[in-house]
Amino acid sequence: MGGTTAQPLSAGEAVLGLVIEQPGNSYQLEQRLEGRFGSAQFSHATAYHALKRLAKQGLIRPMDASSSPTQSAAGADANAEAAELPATAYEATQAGIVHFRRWLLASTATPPVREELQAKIAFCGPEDLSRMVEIVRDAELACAVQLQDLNERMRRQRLLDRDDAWRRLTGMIVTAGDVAWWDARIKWLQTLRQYLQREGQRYAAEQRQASSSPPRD
Amino acid sequence: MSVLSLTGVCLSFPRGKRHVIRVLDDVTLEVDAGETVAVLAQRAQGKTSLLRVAAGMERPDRGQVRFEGEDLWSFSERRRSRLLGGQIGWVGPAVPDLDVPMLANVALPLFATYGKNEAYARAMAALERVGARECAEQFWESLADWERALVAVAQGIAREPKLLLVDDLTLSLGLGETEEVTLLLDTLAGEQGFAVLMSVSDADATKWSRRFASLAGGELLERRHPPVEGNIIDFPGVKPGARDPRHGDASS
Repeated sequence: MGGTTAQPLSAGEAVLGLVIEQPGNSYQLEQRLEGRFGSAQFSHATAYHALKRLAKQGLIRPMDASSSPTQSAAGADANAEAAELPATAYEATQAGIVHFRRWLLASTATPPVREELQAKIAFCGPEDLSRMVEIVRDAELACAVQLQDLNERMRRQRLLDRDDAWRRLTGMIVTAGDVAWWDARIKWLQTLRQYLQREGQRYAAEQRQASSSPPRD
Repeated sequence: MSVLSLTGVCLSFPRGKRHVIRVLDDVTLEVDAGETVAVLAQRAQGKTSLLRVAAGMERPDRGQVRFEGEDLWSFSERRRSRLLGGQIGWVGPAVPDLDVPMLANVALPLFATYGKNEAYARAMAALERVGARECAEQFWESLADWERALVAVAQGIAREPKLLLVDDLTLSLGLGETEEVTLLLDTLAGEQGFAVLMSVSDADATKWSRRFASLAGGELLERRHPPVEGNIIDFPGVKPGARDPRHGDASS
């Protein structure tokens, strides 16, 4: 089962999984998608488009208005807002549940690494080092912001899951995967910044020395 | 006014006549009351030095270290050393000097200030507050790593400090244990209103920190966020009904 290269998390599977857990409309699912997989950075209206696609594939179906869920995992405030939206609530079909279980149990493999910054470092020259340090510094700060956002979402989610030990456990493990990724990324950037800075200083000193020493005949 | 304020702090150690190791380079950082700030750095990148400077144990080459607005290095040595272990608490994974039960281990450093009876009472209260009451009669060797971490936190808070400096406490802890210990620190900071500056080796330990900075090559990087709506999570060691003064009741 599964190929040799893992695919990025598909919005379809994520939304289908959420619908199986608890039916909902696109607004409610958008909120839950953000709460559970915030660092995957799904774009706005991802749930809406995923629901349309899943319904077309017969993996979910619209619910009767009378049986639509009134309680959302996203909390009472979200329910109040969602109640004002004329959105259809969806539930999973049997085919959807089978499809999801097959996806859930399929193997995953190592994701491909393709990184713009690596190429920039590979192609830069000594004269570019100071600019490279700035680029790395910006990247590190951006990662720090992402990590902080992730931590804040995790704190909010933990509050929602406070009475659900299983959800708290799986949430912690999922977040650990995200955090491990940012941890490795930040440490790589820290190391990179340090080396580039050191080399940049050495290069600048050499340049100063070369310009101050008298030309040889 | 911040509890701790570092401005343009530089620290270096000479190596021979011509070389210096630059440990901190123009570091500026503020930590407010009730706030936890995590500094992520790899090994030998100046984490402990940063905390030692913040504690007044290490004098920086340049820059200012202020505690509650006052320059630490304008204090007499006696006042500075009183501050450390009093209003400034230190929490680290160090092995205790004496082979005594943990209650005595937490209480002994308090004897001189509070007398024997109050020292024991404070030590027990601190152990209870961190959820480590059952460690009171245990010896260090018999404790699991995460229990040792809790005892270290109890020791740090027993004098009700205004600033708690936490040096890589979660280094040997697993995922869940790291989460519980860092959650405890953040909850206690909110409950008791002290500031926490903690050095960490892994991003896992930053989860419950309100702010995060990255330290490498002596340079500290941080992008400040506006304060966000916070929360308080029930923790077994925290007083029932305690409220986080920074925020409203999250359960409402």
